[in-house]
Amino acid sequence: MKIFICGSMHFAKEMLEAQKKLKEFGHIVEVPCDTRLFIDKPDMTTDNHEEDSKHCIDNDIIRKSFNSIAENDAILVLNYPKDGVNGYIGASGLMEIGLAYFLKKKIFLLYSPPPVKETKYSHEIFIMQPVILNGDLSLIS
Amino acid sequence: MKITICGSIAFQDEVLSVKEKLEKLRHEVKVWPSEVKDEKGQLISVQEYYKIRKIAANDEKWVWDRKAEGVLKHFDKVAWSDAILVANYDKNDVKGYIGGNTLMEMGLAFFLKKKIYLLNEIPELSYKEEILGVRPIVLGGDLSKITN
Repeated sequence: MKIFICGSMHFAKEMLEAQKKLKEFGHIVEVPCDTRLFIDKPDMTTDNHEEDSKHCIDNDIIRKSFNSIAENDAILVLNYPKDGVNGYIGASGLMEIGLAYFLKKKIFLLYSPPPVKETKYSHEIFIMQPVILNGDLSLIS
Repeated sequence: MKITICGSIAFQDEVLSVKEKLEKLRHEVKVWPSEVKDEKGQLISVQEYYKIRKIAANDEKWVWDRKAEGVLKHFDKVAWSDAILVANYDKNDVKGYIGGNTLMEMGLAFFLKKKIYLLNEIPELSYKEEILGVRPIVLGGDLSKITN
């Protein structure tokens, strides 16, 4: 299966690790175009909103990710805990899940989305009928 | 121009008024339906449905089924349009609030290369950078700024 890995770039290193594992399972796997950049420049952080916004706009990151979703069969969202939220999915991840659903792609989440009490838009995420892997990449089929 | 209005059904009255104004400006406009079916299949107004949903538990299946149907139908309306207009009124103490559902619609519109208009200012939310990233045009309340 052709899979595009999504999620917060805070987990760039984990994206490459997941890519490696999935390739071993025989999948063709793409990661976001700026993954290597985030790993090579540890001072680059998604927490600096102004800098991250400039990076995304200057490099057309959102459109590139959206095009990657269109070109693959499935998306895998690496929603590790972040900022004290289990199953964290940021706004970019939400938009990517919505688009994947519209394009009839399979949607895999590494973990369950955050409870609705913590993240109101988890309702929308459940509506997109993701397959929740509970951390087990071998369940992708 | 073909325009789909996106936003919260909490602002049904305001949105219908905007629709009327846009139609006077010769645009073709789609919004969400004014009524939905309740648990027993009876039609209720979206305002009534919104009141029920606001206090609904996670296991009130029909409530969330209606929301799911609405989300997916609205995606198709975004695809139909030339542009979306986000009716972002003040909500939850945020000026120009944009919720998660609307953000998904904005993402879809961006992918489909539709114009994205915001009726009011860009809200100060944790995902402001994503809103900026889909390059919205802020109207400052002036619908006449919508052009072909």
